[in-house]
Amino acid sequence: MNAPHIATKARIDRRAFLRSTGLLLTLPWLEAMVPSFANAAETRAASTQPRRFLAMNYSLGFHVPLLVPKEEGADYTPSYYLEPLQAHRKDFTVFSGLSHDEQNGSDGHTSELTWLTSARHPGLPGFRNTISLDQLLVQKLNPDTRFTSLVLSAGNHATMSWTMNGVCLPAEPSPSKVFQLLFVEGSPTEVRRQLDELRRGRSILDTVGEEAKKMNANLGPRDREKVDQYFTSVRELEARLLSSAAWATRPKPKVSSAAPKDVADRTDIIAKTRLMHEMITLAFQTDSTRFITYSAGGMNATPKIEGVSQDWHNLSHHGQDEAKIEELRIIERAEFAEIGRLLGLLKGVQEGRGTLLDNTIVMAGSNLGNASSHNTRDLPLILAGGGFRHGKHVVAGGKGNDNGRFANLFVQIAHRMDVGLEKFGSSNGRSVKGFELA
Amino acid sequence: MRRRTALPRLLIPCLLGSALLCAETPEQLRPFIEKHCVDCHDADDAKGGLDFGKLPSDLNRPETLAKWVHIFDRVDQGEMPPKKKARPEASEKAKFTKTLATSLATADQANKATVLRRLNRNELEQTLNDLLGINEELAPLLPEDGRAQGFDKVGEALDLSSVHLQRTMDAARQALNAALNKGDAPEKIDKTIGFGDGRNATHIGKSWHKLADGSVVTFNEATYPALMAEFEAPIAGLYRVTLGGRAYQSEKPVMVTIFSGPFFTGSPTRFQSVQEFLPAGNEVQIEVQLKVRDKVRLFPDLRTFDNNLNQKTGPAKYPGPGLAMKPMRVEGPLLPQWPGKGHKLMFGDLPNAPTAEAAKRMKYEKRRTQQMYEITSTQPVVDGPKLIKAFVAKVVREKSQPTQADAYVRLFEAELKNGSTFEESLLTAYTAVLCSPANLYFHEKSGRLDAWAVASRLSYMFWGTAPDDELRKHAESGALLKPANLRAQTDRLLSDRRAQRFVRDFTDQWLSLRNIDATSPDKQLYPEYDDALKAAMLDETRGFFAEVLANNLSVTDFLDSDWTMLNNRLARHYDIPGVEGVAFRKVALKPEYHRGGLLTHASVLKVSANGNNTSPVMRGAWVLDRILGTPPSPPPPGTPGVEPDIRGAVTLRQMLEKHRSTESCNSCHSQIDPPGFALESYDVAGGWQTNYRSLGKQFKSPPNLKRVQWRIGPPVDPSGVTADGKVFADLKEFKQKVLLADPEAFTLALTRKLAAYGSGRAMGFSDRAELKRIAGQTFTHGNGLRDLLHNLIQSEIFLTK
Repeated sequence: MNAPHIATKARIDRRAFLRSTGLLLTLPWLEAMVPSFANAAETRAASTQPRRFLAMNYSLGFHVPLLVPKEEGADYTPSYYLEPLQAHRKDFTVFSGLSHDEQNGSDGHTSELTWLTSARHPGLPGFRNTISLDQLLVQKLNPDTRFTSLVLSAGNHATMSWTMNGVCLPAEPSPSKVFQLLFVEGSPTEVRRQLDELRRGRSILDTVGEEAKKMNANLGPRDREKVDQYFTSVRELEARLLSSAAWATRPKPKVSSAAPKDVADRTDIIAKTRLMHEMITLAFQTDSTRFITYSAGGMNATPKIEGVSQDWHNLSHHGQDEAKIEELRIIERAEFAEIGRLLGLLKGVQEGRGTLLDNTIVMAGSNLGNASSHNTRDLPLILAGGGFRHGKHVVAGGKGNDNGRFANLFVQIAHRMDVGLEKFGSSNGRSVKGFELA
Repeated sequence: MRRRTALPRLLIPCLLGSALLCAETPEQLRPFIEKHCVDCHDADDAKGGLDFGKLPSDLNRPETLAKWVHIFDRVDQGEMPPKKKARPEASEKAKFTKTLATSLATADQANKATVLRRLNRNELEQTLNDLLGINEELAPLLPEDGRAQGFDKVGEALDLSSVHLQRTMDAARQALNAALNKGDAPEKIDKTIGFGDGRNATHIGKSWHKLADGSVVTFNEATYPALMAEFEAPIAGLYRVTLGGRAYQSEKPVMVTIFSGPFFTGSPTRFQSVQEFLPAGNEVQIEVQLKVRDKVRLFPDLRTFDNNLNQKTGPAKYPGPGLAMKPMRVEGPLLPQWPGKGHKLMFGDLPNAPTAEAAKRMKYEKRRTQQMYEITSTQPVVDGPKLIKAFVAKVVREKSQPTQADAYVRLFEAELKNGSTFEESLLTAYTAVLCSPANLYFHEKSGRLDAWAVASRLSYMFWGTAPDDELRKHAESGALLKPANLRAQTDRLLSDRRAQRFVRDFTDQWLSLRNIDATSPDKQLYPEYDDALKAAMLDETRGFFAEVLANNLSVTDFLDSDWTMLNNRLARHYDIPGVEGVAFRKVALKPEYHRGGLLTHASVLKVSANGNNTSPVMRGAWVLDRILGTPPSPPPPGTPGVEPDIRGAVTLRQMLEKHRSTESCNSCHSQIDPPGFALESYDVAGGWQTNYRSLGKQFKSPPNLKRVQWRIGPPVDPSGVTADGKVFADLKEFKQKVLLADPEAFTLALTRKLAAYGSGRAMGFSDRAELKRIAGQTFTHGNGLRDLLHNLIQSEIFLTK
């Protein structure tokens, strides 16, 4: 499949564009328009480039011995999994020795829920998840983009994005639907119908909000908390519908790629990943959103990859069986090759004086350090782009229980995005030692 | 000795610091803790992660309360102080537990009322489907629900966000649209299609053989060519499929698993049922819910198929067993009436007509869709409010109020004024009704519940849906509050077909049957595991629960029984002779079958293991939590999992020994592991094993099995010693010496689960007395499951908030 690209090379008729959108600030960030900006305010707006964050979790883990290089620092020999990433060696960092604290949960895979939230004991009695890093950044930065964030997955509805009161945001598994939402312009009738629906939605919310007020009588304090949740939800949704109505009248960015067709074979994980990576690139490139999480998956079936004959989940529980590890490494190397391809796509888009990757933090890893025993220490992790000094293997802590805190990296990411967090989840510092800005 | 300094003086006054407890004398607790606890549980040692110096004291915080309850239980049950240390005097211990119990009960009492409970996504789906007479999958649209005490029915854990609300609006609108029945009823098809017709004809003579009577014979197991007649559902709906066939050149019946779906590579499929065809031939009729363009495909179980021979001789001369299928008859969609129940509720008998634009298209276009028609009214401002009032009355689950529909009528009128059509304005009002707090929440006032609240609890417990008309009648009149009437209604609900939803949902959550697909047994190690077996596993457990429920059998049968529910597929898996046919029936068990009680159900053994290996720790923790009702504490921070090695030289049990020899690990593992050890006699798919299966080349292959890759690994050791010193050789002895030694403990544990499930709140310390009373009352009168449910329904726990 060809790399997606956007019709930015041919200059857009800016005046036509402005006429239809009205507001300068809400312009999608299109590289092709920068040279034509005339006044100072516009130039300033152009130089404050948007910062973006992409988190990708591979919930069946990676076989860490094939990922972590033997040597620390910049002179490491690429490991088997990092070989396909060597073209981008200077653009990413591989970490070892990081984990969240107290991830024992109600089963071996519940640490999936907390990879991006750092909450403790997922799924055990009394557990309530906390806000995920992407959603916290959304909340603090309140980006004026068509979508405040995109929550995507490779086919199941798994998600790593959680709201402040611990509710999970369902993930969208269909690349064609993402494309539709982002780029396919409705006909005038469809837009009118959409606006009608949004208006009706707000009327419905008005009505049910009024009805909820009647409930307040005779309620104890904990019941009132729940009613407040209802009110808050009504208010938030009203605001969102209003904002959607505003966006509905603005034209969607034009891209030259044709609408993608979803991969019908759910076991063809590489084709599916590739397509979603292209959607991610397009979404960032057109500034349709600045925050994306992608649950890259894992499944109880045999992935369609040459040389793989067994159920993926079972392979991850290899129990040290060489034949299983042999197949597992085929899958996992292919996944890394796709990560490499994504970095290539992001690097291929010019933005201001740099590339899209320079303004995008890409965090890819897993909630399992050893999937065969469901161990949550020594997590596999790479971080690319975003203006950090890359090209190294950073040993961020000792082995096992002596691991450094993964959440320190979250605080560091937040700072990079101009969100001055003091603490996130189980963090005990504001950065990971040996990892800094370029 | 550090005793004096280790315990901060503030602790006890803090612990009892709430206003209610000031009268208590803290001095009653402190000496005991100082004397028996702080030696190990202080800042220096903090054994088991407990340091009394750092233990928070505000019992209004649930996690703090839970910690103190844990301390109470360890002391009360004599586990702490540990055996090696000085034992407290009986009076000393009694004084401590009594004082602590009072504080804990008071604190729990103050916080325990059912928190305003939202319908979970399954309840919402069922409620809308029943209200509108439709069959839509709505739950997947909504975010996953939170759980407490293992159930997604507990108010406290059921939060709401703007995402929920938006998705609920989408789901409500989808449901209303699905119920729209405008225009003429869709044409009912009735087709008979041969399996070798159309494009499938190319297989005849190559892989398939056609008989004189038109039947097509396949010798093929499940793969190419697919046994799938050329039929696609023209629209979504319920279809009746009639299949005639026979086992060909076979003395045994041939089992067939039936799936539906679009069947392109990797597309989702839906399991429909397992059927069988006899040598003499028989006819099978099933009803299948199909989506548009779904097909129906048969997977015959023909394991002896020899492809090489078939290739050589050709299908006509091939001597092996096969399946001969007559043409398939499909009728549908089956609709009880047109327009349906939901449409009538929404629009009464108002006429509908093609829209002006559609009327033009209809002249040259044959296709008819719902969008081409519009509901019309000659007096919208009269008809609209009347319909809305009737709709609201069906949704609301509270005593009816004359003004309850006013807000929705106003919404309808405003929409009309805004220029929306009559139909659209009504649908907007209905969407609002379905997203309103009246529909999304339970309506329970503190204290004794009113009849409506009881009706809702009852209906959502046993049917997972809103009260039906009869229950509504009893709620509105208040008659439901009379114990005899409540009992009669409970019986009515339990005897109805819809009580299957309770059986299914409760066992799904209590026993984690929802996780049946979380792992799939390794194909090399467990080639016998397939969809027909998986379906049979679930049917055994659900059928077993239903049987106990229907006949008021003793709940002790869950621990051990001399019967179970089997069909031929599962009986083959269990190696039990004499069970023919795919239908489930009650079968008497002999000791040599090694079965009896839930713990020997393949479903339970499957969900408590992963795909490759069993773990005594996982299974043991599972038994403690689900069966004994004493969930173990989570492992202390930083405990790594034991990594299995399926090459098989060292068993997991041997690896655990090292762990268990450490005292700090053993204090919990001496509780957790024993039931897990006993269950080691059953493999990950629930089969009986005396040796583990292994892929290690150093082991021998099984003698009488061909074409399997696994080998006979190290022997299984199912023996063990419980924490209190009971020695058992295997599961049978474990059941007798441990589980059956105190069957009332299980009745109590099950009562607690059912109580949380039915009342919508997590059971706390102050519920213990009432739970004990319910369990005791049940136990002394035969221990029947139905009695248990009656006792629970009539209890304080169920009838108050």
